[in-house]
Amino acid sequence: MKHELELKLQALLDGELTGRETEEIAALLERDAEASALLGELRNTRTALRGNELEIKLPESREFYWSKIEREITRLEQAPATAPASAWWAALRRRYVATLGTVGVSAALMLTAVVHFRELSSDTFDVENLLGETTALTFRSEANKMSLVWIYDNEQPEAEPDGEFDDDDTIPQT
Amino acid sequence: MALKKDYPSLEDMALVRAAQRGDMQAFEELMGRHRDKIYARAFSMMRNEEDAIDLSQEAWVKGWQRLKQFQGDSSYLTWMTRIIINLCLDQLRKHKRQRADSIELLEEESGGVERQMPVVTSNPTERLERGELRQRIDRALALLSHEHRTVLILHEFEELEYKEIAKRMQCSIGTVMSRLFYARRKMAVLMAGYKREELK
Repeated sequence: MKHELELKLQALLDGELTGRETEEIAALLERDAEASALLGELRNTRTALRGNELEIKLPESREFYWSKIEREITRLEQAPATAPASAWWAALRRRYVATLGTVGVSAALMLTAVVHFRELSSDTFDVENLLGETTALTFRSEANKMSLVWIYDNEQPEAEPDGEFDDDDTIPQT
Repeated sequence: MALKKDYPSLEDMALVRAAQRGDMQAFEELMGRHRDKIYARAFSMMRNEEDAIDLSQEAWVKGWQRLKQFQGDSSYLTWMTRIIINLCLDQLRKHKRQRADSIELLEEESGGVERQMPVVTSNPTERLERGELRQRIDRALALLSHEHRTVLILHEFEELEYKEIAKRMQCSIGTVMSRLFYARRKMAVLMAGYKREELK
């Protein structure tokens, strides 16, 4: 039997055929035993199923089941109220705090440099660390466009910078 | 002082109206009345207890969120059933996408072995007590593919027309007809098999 005919038999059973198609299939059923048997099987299955779904009970207590629903509803209802504020703050932080931090540190460094620069008349200077345990010496050569910092322990004999900078280098000594 | 409402005595529509005004207790009463049916529909489609619990709870959350859209054109239970069916169909579609194309999947529309099955001439469910019949139907449904089971549930239990099923399942009417045909044939054979087992 063609699948198209099988589907038409089923459509007849389900009341999904037009009037003309219904007449055609009814006429065919009178002379086709195979089609008639198939329609009988489909009808039995349909009749057995209709209204005979197994009743299934929720396997959780009403209170426990509801508590999860209620919690989710509450969470979702609170989310729109708090989301804009937190989103706003997060965006602000992302956009400005890092920039402001960088600007702040840069400004502090620049201020320190300016203060020290004013104290110096030549293009070379040293800075003494105020911490008792260590001393730092800074050399700046405008000619070579470079700075050098020595940090050493006061308890130890003063180390001489060695190797790369000799006395005859262009870095003036203080 | 406001009078304490006797929620269990109120009809569904009265509870819906109260819930639409934000009364969570009224909504809880609706949930209490229909929880088994919503869970049962989810379980019948998913055949998995955990999925059915999660999806039915999600349906109640959506039911609360969309409550203002409920106009009362259908019963509240019918409206909630539509929500759970759509959630289950979405979930099944996700599962299907995860499945590789297999022979089983290709046979969904073409019928597979159901094409070769002889017609079951006797009625395998005749003279069965209702409880036993329901048990057999459930056992047979569990053996069908998701596609065949879903189309049967929507047609026989939810009594939806081909067109409506096609819309819900996002497929053609021809596919719905084909799936329904093979699902019915397979059910007939499975239930006849149970009868033969019983006679042994």
